Amino acid sequence: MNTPLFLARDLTRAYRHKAGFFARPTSQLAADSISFEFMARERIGVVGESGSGKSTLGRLLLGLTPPTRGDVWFEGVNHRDRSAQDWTTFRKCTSLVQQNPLSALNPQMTIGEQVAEGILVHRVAGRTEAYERTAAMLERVGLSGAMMNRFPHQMSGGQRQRVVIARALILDPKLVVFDEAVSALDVSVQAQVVALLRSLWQQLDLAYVFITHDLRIVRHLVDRIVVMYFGRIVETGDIRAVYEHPRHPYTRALLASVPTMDSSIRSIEPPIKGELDAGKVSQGCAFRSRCPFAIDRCAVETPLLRAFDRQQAACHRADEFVGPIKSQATAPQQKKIAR
Amino acid sequence: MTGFIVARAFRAIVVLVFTVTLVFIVLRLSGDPAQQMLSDNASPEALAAFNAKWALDRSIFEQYLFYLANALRGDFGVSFADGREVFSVVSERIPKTLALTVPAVILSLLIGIPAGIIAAVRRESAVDKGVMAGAVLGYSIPNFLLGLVFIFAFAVWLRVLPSSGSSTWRHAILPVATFALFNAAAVARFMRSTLIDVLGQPYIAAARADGVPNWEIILRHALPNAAIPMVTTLGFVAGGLLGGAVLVEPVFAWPGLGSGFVNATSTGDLPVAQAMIVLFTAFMVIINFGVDVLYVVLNPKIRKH
Repeated sequence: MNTPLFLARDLTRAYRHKAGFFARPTSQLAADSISFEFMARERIGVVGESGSGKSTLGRLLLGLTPPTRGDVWFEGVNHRDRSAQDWTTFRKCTSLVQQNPLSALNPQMTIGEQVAEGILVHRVAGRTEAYERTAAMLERVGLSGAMMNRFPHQMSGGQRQRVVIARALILDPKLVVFDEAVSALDVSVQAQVVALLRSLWQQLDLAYVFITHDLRIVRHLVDRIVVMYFGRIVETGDIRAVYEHPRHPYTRALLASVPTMDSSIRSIEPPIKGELDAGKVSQGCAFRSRCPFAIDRCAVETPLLRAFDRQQAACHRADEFVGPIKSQATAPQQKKIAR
Repeated sequence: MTGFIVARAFRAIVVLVFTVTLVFIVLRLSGDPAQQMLSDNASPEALAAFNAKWALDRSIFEQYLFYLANALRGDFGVSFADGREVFSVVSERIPKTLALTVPAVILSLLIGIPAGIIAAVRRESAVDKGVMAGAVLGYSIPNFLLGLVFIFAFAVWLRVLPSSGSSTWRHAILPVATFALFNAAAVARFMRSTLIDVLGQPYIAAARADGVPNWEIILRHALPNAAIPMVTTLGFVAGGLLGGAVLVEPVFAWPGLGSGFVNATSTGDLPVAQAMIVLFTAFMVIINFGVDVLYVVLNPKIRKH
């Protein structure tokens, strides 16, 4: 077995909140005991609602947020053991692409300065070569090298996101975290950027984590998916296995909520209501208050990830969910739960 | 860019003309100038001669134009108090006020900007809390009270510095310190909050993720973006100096524009007070114009279009 590119064990991040000056601080887990790993060139999708902790997971992997508990290893080196020098080396091989390309670009610096910055900071090449490479990279993401002298406000949203991608890829990274990278773009532009990412991945030695709430897009972009709810992984596995046989009611509800023209899908799976309610869950399954399939056991015992054929799911009734979401016969009996 | 400056300059002139007009109206509402200048028992011939001399026998519109033309030439009449030209009464006080405000502004920037940067970069640390506690204290004490405290401490109690007058540079220390401390507190607070805001922007996270060193993130990414809102604050600070001068100068008996204005209003020396209002307005207009021009220089979004 090769060393995994990334290995996360029991990764937990708590955020402390204070409602007022005299209020007792409460802590909320944005990431709760997350363990997973991935290899070089693997493409991982992380999905979940806002507040599910998916962005926190990305920041924990990149070491931008220190974990409250747990560890992350990159190529066998624990983040906790990294010296300043090690961090610089690590930053050279990783990148972050964020949601809004306008705020992800410095309004005071030209496109060229921002894309070339990585090369200059890490002293990979001199100025002349840095700008030559920048022009080449801009062309690779479908822009022209002449755009180097522009400022971010002089470009369209799609062009800006291409610039951000060029900046992320300029040092040939081993991992890029795409955090809602296409969510702010128009649907037509989204499709172009998705096509660009697919073709760039073919050409590069790159693994990526694609964080999104858009289940339609992620399907075209990743090999493996991680579904998060309230800071925990509720289901993970091969993208096709999870899409075809979702084993967690939350995954099923997410997939069912994807707008579709097929009315037979829409009507069957019960939609989930409400929002992710933070804080109150100390015991049992965090999803149970919104789950149409919840049973008494869900309130008592926190479900752990259990392995199935090509996926894992954290639900007590996971083995009762068989088959794709559209077949009515496979959904287990609903049970009204008292609130 | 040129069009922008011309437009702003035009606006500045409109504001000035408007102010001068307002001052003219107040002057007319405040009574018969001839009777105020001469005495109540002046002869009718003397009053008529005075009115003829200052064109007060003309129609109100002609008087207004006459007044405007004089104001443009810097002729604001004579002081009621000693009959001297208002222009020279006011202009001899300008260097005195500048001698306080210019060092005070420089000092407050030299203290406030680094303090704010350190507090923002070391956010939530003991340094941050110390700097901010000092800033809140400095900002909360009214500056004339701070002046009195300084006089009590350094002039009355320690007897190391003079408490009033302007004859030597040592006389300037306490008023400059009073001004500078108050403004440094304001600058530090705003520098901190602006920089914290900028440091929370996604492009800073992106630079961090790309391994840009911390000092370079602050110097190259954060500070240029924090400079734009800072310029606005500096405009306020500079504009507030004259208001501060009105409060602080009398405390130290400093013969600048501030105490001059207080004297003129309390003795009813309208021509002097009015000329000062016009001067203060002109100062504010120039500061605002400077802020507008700096915006263009600092902000590529305006610069290019």
